[in-house]
Amino acid sequence: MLFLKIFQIALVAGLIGLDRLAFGQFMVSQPIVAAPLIGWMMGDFHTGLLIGVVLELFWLRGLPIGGHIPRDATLSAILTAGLCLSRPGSIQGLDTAWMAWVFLWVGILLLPAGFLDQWIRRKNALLIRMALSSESPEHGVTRAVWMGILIFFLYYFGVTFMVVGFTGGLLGRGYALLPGDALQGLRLFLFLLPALGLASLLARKDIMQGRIHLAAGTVASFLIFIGLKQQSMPVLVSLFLLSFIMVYVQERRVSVS
Amino acid sequence: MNKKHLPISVLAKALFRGFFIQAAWNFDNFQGVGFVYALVPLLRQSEFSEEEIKSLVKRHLSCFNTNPYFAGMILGGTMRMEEERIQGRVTAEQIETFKNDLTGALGALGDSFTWGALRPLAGLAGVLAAMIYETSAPLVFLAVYNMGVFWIRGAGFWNGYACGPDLLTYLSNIKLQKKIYWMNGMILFAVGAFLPLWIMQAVPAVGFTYLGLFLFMVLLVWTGLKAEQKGVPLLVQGVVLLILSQGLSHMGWMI
Amino acid sequence: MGIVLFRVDDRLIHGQVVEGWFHHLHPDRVVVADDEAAASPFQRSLMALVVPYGIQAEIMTVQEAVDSCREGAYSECRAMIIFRLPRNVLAAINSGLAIDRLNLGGLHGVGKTRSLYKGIIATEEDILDLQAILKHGVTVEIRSVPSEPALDLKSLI
Repeated sequence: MLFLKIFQIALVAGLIGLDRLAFGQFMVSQPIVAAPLIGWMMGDFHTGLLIGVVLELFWLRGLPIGGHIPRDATLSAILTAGLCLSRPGSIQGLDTAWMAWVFLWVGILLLPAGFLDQWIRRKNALLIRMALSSESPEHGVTRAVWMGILIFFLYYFGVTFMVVGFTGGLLGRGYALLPGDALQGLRLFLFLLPALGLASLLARKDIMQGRIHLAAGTVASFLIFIGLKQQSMPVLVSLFLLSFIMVYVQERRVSVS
Repeated sequence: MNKKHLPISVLAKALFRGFFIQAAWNFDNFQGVGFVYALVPLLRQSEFSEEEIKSLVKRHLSCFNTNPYFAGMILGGTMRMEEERIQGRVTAEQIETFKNDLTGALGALGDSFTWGALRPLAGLAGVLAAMIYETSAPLVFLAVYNMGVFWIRGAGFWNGYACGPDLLTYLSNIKLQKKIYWMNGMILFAVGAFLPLWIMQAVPAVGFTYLGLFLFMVLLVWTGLKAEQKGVPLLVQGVVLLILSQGLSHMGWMI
Repeated sequence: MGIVLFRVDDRLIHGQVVEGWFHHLHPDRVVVADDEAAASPFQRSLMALVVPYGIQAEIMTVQEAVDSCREGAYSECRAMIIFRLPRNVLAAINSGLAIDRLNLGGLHGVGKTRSLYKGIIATEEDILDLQAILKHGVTVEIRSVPSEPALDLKSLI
């Protein structure tokens, strides 16, 4: 049963992986979609969602500019969700320490996976020759494109199958050895992780220019925080609009003077 | 403008094939193979002879690297220009220059639009939805992101084809930089709204007081910002954070 | 305040400049001092497309740029000035531009070239020009994006 499950996960991972680069880019491959999806398949949507939220925030800014390839947020989400929920024994609620432990392992795996990815993309140059080799250019190009799709599918399928299928047990045994302190530290680590993603995003934004928005956002969420949870949406929306009106008016004043 | 347009079905096919533009991504010609794949519906038109097709494929298998969503505009523009070339109004060199100029500009513009603004914005919207309404998060993310992107893809491709060499006029009319500017405002709003909500989730799990954890998170974001400006890779920052949180937990998590 | 960066880059404004330098220096004005770009409406609108909202882009000839610098047109703002080739900088210095630091961002010369550093492929003429610029007492640093460490050109030629 478990083998079948892992096979299914790997199949879905292959399809999700295609969305990251080869086909579509509808961003089903972002952690906030991919992780809950894998979670739902394994019977725990909520754990998947928490993983998705943390990883989405951590990888908030991955910029594939030019030939630069950022770290693979998709793979990290799929593997973390897959490993997290295929914990040998039982799936027990939301243990954030176990999540962080799995994420650390996946973080290490991302380095060799990145090299493999680069290698594939270099080898893909052969596809150009393939496109030109056929008698009819149309067939050559079509074949090259489908070959590319197959290669990227197999990459995500293979990596997910190997990692989720064969490293879960070892990871579980290592986890059992951790002392209580370390577990608490891991929980803290998981909840602090989004700060780094936000920082990497803010480093490219003009904070001074957007300070009104930033302040309005914080105020809105503090209001929700002190007991307006029922009416949180109107609060959020109205402060959101307010901050934009303020900035608009401010800009008008600057451009008039 | 009494020009004959390609049938809608051909344009629709080319638009769909544009989704495969990165299928054969490689370091030699980047999206070149995918670009030619998307041109195939055009090549099936009767005015293209066998030899014509061969030389055209060879020409377009050159390096092509731009933002995948904005590639549709260049695809549309190229299709229009190839048609005009058959009629003798445009030369192959002009098409080459058109592609080169626009891939560079739209690469820069498109990357800051989709990866730099739209995706973080949709991500943050999804995250906020997750913390207020839980299950809707993936749908919110996909809806926000794809609304923006479908507009670029659909309208962009169509106007690329309609404008051809005048694509630049269309591009300056849609004022993308201004849209990026307003999206940046929304991103900052979402960042501001995120932290207190996140603290609310975190405190039951990790202990400590609300205010203390909030200030600690703000400090951490500030430190991360400085590290980012110095060019420290994200994974390295993660390792430092791991050591820090292990240390704090070992000391009993009291500051 | 004033001019925050003088840069030489033969691609003028592109992704590295926008993603790297604009986020680092927050200029409110970017001046492209290049005769060729100033003469081409196509180039002008292409560049206007890439510059973020809130940053004013000015595309002018080298001589015009020198004149407006000398008149102090940029003393009230944070301006970034981009030249295409070392030759243009030298011309600007000779016609009276005061400059003490120059950022060498990218050169991709064709023909008889020498690779000085990653992304800096200079022709013989470029090297002569750079040496002349150094003689004027200008510090030339090689740095394509702000997250890279600055490398002094003196250590290379």
